Amino acid sequence: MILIHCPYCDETLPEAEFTYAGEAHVVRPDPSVSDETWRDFLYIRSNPKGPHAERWRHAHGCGRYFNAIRDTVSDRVLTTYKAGESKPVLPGDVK
Amino acid sequence: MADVTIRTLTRAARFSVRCGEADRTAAAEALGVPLIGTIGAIAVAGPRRSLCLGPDEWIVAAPLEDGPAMTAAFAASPAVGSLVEVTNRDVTFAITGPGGEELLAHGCPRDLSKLAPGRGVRTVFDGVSVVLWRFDDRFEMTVWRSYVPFVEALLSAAAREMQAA
Ligand SMILES: [Zn+2]
Repeated sequence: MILIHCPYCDETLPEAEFTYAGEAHVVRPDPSVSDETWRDFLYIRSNPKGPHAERWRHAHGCGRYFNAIRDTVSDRVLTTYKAGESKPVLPGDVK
Repeated sequence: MADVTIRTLTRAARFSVRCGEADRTAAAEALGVPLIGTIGAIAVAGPRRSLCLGPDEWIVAAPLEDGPAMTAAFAASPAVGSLVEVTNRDVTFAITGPGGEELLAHGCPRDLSKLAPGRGVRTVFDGVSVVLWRFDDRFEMTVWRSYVPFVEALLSAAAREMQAA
C-alpha cells in the first residue's frame, strides 16, 4: 500500500484514505485558444516515467485536495504540498 | 483473547460545522463548545464536544435535547459559517475493552496505536467513511445510517473471530 503524507493533517497515512485526482499544475487556458490547444488541455498529459506531479484528495480524512510528487516507477510518494503552493524542486531535477 | 464489547449509543444531537478562522471563536461561543483549529483535536465542554475534521470543519455532538437551542444560538450569532444538523444521519458505536484497536484494524487501514486518547479522525472502515473518537476507555465510531447493517455485521464477525482465536 502507498503511504501518503497529508500536508493538512501532517500525518503519513495509508492510500485507502485518499483518492487520486489526475495530473497537477494543468492550467486552464483562455477559451479563445485554438481547438488543438484546448484538446491538449483536456486530454494530453505528460505521463512520465519517474517523478509525476499529481493531485490527491484526502477523501476519508480532512477532505482537502493537495499535490504529490510520485515516482511512477517505484510508486513511492517523494513529497506532498498544499494546493496553491508551487511544485518543489527535487534533487536530480533538471534546472 | 482480547476482550471487546460493541454497543450502539443512544442518539445525540450532531452538527457539521464549517467556518473560517475569523469566525471560529464566535461559532464556538454560540455552540457552547470550543472549536480547536488542529485536525484531530477533541474539545469537551460538559456534555458537549467537538472534533476538528479538517482545516475549516468540525463535528459537534451534544445531548439530543440541546440541539434546538444550539441551532438558534448559531443563527443569532455574528459568526459567518454553516451549521448542518446531521443528528438523523449518524449512528455511533462504542467499542470498549483492550481489544478495541485489534477489532477496528479489521476494517481500518490506519495505525490506531498512533491515535492517542483525546484525539479523533475521519477515516475509512472497509470502504465506509467513519468518524473515530478515541477516549481513555473506549473508541466511538460514527457511521452514516445507511451503512450501519454492513458495518455492524463486520464488527460482530470480527469480534467473533477474535473470541475464537
Ligand atoms: Zn488530510
